[in-house]
Amino acid sequence: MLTDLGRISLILALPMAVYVIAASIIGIKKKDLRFVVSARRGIYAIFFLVGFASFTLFNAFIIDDFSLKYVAAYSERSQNIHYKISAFWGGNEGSLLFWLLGLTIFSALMAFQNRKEKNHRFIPYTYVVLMIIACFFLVLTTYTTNAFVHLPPDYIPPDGRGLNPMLQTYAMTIHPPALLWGYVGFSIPFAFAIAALISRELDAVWIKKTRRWTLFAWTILGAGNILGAWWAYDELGWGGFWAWDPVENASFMPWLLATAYLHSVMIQERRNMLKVWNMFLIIVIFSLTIFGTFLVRSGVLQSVHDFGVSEMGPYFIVFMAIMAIISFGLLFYRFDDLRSTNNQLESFISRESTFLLNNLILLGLAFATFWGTMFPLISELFTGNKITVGPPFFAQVNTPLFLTLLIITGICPLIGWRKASVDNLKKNFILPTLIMVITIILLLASGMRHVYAILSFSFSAFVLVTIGMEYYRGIRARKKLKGEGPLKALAMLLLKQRRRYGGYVVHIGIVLLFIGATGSTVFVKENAKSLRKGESMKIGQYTLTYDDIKAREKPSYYAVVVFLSVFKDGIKVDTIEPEKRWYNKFPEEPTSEVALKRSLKEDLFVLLAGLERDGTITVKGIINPLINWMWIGGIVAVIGGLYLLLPEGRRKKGSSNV
Amino acid sequence: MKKNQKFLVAGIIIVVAIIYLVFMGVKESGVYFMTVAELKADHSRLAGEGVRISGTVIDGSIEDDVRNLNLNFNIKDEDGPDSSFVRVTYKDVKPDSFKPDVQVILEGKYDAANNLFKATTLLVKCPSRYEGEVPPPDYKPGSKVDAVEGIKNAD
Repeated sequence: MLTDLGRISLILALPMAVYVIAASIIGIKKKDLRFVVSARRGIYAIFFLVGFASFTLFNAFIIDDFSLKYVAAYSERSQNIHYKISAFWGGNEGSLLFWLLGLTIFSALMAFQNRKEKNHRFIPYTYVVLMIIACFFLVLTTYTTNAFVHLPPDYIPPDGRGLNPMLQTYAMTIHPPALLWGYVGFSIPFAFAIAALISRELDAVWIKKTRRWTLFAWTILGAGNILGAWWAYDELGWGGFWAWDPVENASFMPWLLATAYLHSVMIQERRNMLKVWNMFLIIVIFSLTIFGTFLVRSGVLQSVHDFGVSEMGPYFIVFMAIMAIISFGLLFYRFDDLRSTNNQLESFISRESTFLLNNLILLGLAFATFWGTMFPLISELFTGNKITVGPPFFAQVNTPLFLTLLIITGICPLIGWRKASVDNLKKNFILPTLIMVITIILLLASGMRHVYAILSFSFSAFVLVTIGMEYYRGIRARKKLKGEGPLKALAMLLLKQRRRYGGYVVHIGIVLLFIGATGSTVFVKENAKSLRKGESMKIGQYTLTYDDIKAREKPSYYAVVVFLSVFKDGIKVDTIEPEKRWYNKFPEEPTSEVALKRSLKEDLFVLLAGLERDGTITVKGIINPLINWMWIGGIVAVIGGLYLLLPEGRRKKGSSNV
Repeated sequence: MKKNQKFLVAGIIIVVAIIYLVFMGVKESGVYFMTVAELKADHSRLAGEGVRISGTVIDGSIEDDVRNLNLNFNIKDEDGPDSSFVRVTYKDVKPDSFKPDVQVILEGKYDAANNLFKATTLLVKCPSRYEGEVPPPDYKPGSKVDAVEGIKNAD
């Protein structure tokens, strides 16, 4: 059987990873390149072994091999092909294998990228670090959470149970792999950081070599988070997109710190400063990715959406402890080497100091989120009482931090490196500040009194104006120098000075995200009511009238659909059809299909919340202003991130350093 | 003062401010998380403050007045006796997965004199939600749901 070969292949990968570690160390000690080359081939081999094992599992899903327990539990014959494929990471066992698959692919790619690298002693050390991580996941996937368990012949069902209907959405096909591989991506810069520490090659080379990996991991982890929010909004039917649940926080924290890291490494690249800080950040980020992988499966914290409790907890805790002790031990050991002696910060009003502030705020956000997530455990440990904090805590603590971050996003590009002159400040700040003040006045005049919302919108205006000014200046300069038209100049800016102007695209996305998040958390209106046929309910300026109820029978589910007329200011604008579904294989868990009337101004979100035998329904309606700007912002930011990732191609040296 | 020291002071001020924010956040929005037994024994400590509790919905105790969105039920600790229960009242939409014997997490206030918990949020905890199960070999799919009387097919 193919899956048996897959299992054997996975079992073989473990000794191979041990071999790579040994060969790398021997190669370094004996200064013998042949061992390093052999280790590199070993990494390729592991990629093929784990890749083949994963392929056999994918194949088992596609051919409906229900003799495999994992397939029988997460797939069924009638499942769409892409849901069959995404069932691979639908459960604990498969998602860990998928983690490992990502790690082996990235390791092989990294090894291939640096195959000709002979100047830096640290490359073989990265093999060691990566393969230690691989060993951990290999032990898990072969021994504790094996996806290749066969059912006894008498117990093989004619059809599988199928993927939970809630997971059968497009967002859920992409969200888990984006998140998991986003996590995995940070293993590469982490491995380089540790390798730099061991080899004492502590300049910015390891950072430059991993810049793109970091950006890649940051982008897809961000995309994964946004997709999770989108899924929660579309599928879970509570009307929101983020609940500060432990599982959500687990993937948000490394992303926050990675954002900090992306900015602080620029200071190391330019000024050779903050070396300790960057090391500290990447170690914490890596630890948080493992922690996040663990938290989702541990059952340690009360979460509404997690995997079942499993017995892998101790393995993770031991692994995290060992990695943290070694990493921080090394950092401490090399502390004197890392301290930059010759450079220091010169002025509060400099690009560097805004980056530092940005880092502190992001660290603060991550810390507050961590503290709030872990507080039930912390309080129980120290006081014996379990105390929890919910969304109000995160709103109260994180909102001022987010707003500070937002305004720094605007200020930062306006301030030069080292030390900015007063003239320069005047020139740069007058227009954005003016627009910001006008925004505040307009918002106040329109009756808005929510302080945080006013700040959020006006800061957003400030940031957008500063970015606009940056583009305008760049275009004007090119026009003058090269005589290009505005569109061509814009394209050339994006092409030639990608890091700067592509980075601004990401900033624009983040600002739009802020606008959407503000609108849809502060100004939400909702109403729930029980309706009989012909009755109506009001939400904001909308009126919903219950017209009819019908059934829909589909191969895999049975649905009840209600038809509601939507009146806006007394005029009928639409008919919407929220429904409730009972999937054949999950008759005990009806799911709700939300009816959404989307627009850039607001969403009307209508949920068929309850259904009685006599046809009485309960409808919950929510108006979510500006929420679509969140998704648009997310898409813009991800596109910006991906753009920054594109290979740079042939380009004259030095033109990228702005 | 040296420049780096100036930065250090500024950094410390910001860090202290953030810690203060977190501290105030916990102080103002932290709530006790209790089991039913703890709530009944220890409610005096709450002094009218909100609390979060978890428990199992007792079968047969559910009274659901849909017309007025008024859901009432009893909960107990998972391994506790049925006799040690708290009456819950929740005036909002019932979650899809709410049914007898599920684990729920509630937030709200406890009125000890009437043994009544006024819940403002109701979450259904369902650890098996995304956990796959293998169907038994004789499993027959598609026990048709009969949700509404006299309903017509749409298409």
